[in-house]
Amino acid sequence: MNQEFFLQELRRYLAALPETERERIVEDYRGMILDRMEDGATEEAAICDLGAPEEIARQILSEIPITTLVRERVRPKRKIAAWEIVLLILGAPLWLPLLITVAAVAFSLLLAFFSLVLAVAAAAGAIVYHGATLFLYAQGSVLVIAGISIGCIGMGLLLLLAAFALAKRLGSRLIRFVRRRILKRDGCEIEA
Amino acid sequence: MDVQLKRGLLDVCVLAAIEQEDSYGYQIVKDMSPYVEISESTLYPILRRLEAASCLSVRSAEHNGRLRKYYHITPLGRARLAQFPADWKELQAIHDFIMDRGNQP
Repeated sequence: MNQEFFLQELRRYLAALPETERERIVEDYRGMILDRMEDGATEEAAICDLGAPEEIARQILSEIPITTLVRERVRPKRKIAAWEIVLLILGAPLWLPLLITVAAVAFSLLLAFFSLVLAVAAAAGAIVYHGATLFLYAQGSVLVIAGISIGCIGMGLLLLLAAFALAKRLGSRLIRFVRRRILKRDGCEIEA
Repeated sequence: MDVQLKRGLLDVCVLAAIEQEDSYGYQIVKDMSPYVEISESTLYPILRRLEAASCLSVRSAEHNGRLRKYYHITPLGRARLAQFPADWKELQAIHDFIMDRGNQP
């Protein structure tokens, strides 16, 4: 592997980084190779000492905050030309209603879904309540009712805690997933 | 050695390597190598991390017709270095606890 190939590989594995940052790292590594060659190493040996480009990139990327990686991914690769902006504004009567329609449809679908969930929950609740009242009136004891309600509150609190823990885990999973996807697309596997 | 454990210690090692005079990557590796086996690929992220934490600053100087980066310790870096003996005492206590586990009350 010669110097240029090594640096090209490094550049490729660092594709997730902003360009200026990436070039800075590549230049730093060029300097490291030259320093070793000045010390008497052959080009081959100097590169070999530095390790595989993939591993180097992995170590660097593992210290980059995910926000930087996402920002670089989201940022448009080219600037929007003036005429495109003009066209966008002039075309507003055309695409604006379309956009609103799509948004409205999406919103109504979401509402429909939620009402369905609510309806099912309400039905289930009604059945349980009905059954419970029949049972409890048959028992006829206030203490039993109070005991069961307190038990229900306790169970609810426990479920709330469980939901919190679940949300936290899912959240960090999601972040790791996004991070891995970004790095994978640039041809660099990483355990985030 | 455990990576997490080594990480923080290497930060201090690198600061120690540039405490007396400014140095560059390969020189730091050579200076440390009798004591700690470290490659530039390991050193480089550490230098970046220390720079981000303002523990060191970077300047470029002409060398053989190209620019070479020299790392310079900042007051914050010196403070971190000065903190090390106290940190080490704490580590020593942890070490004692771990090694004495057989004959604790």
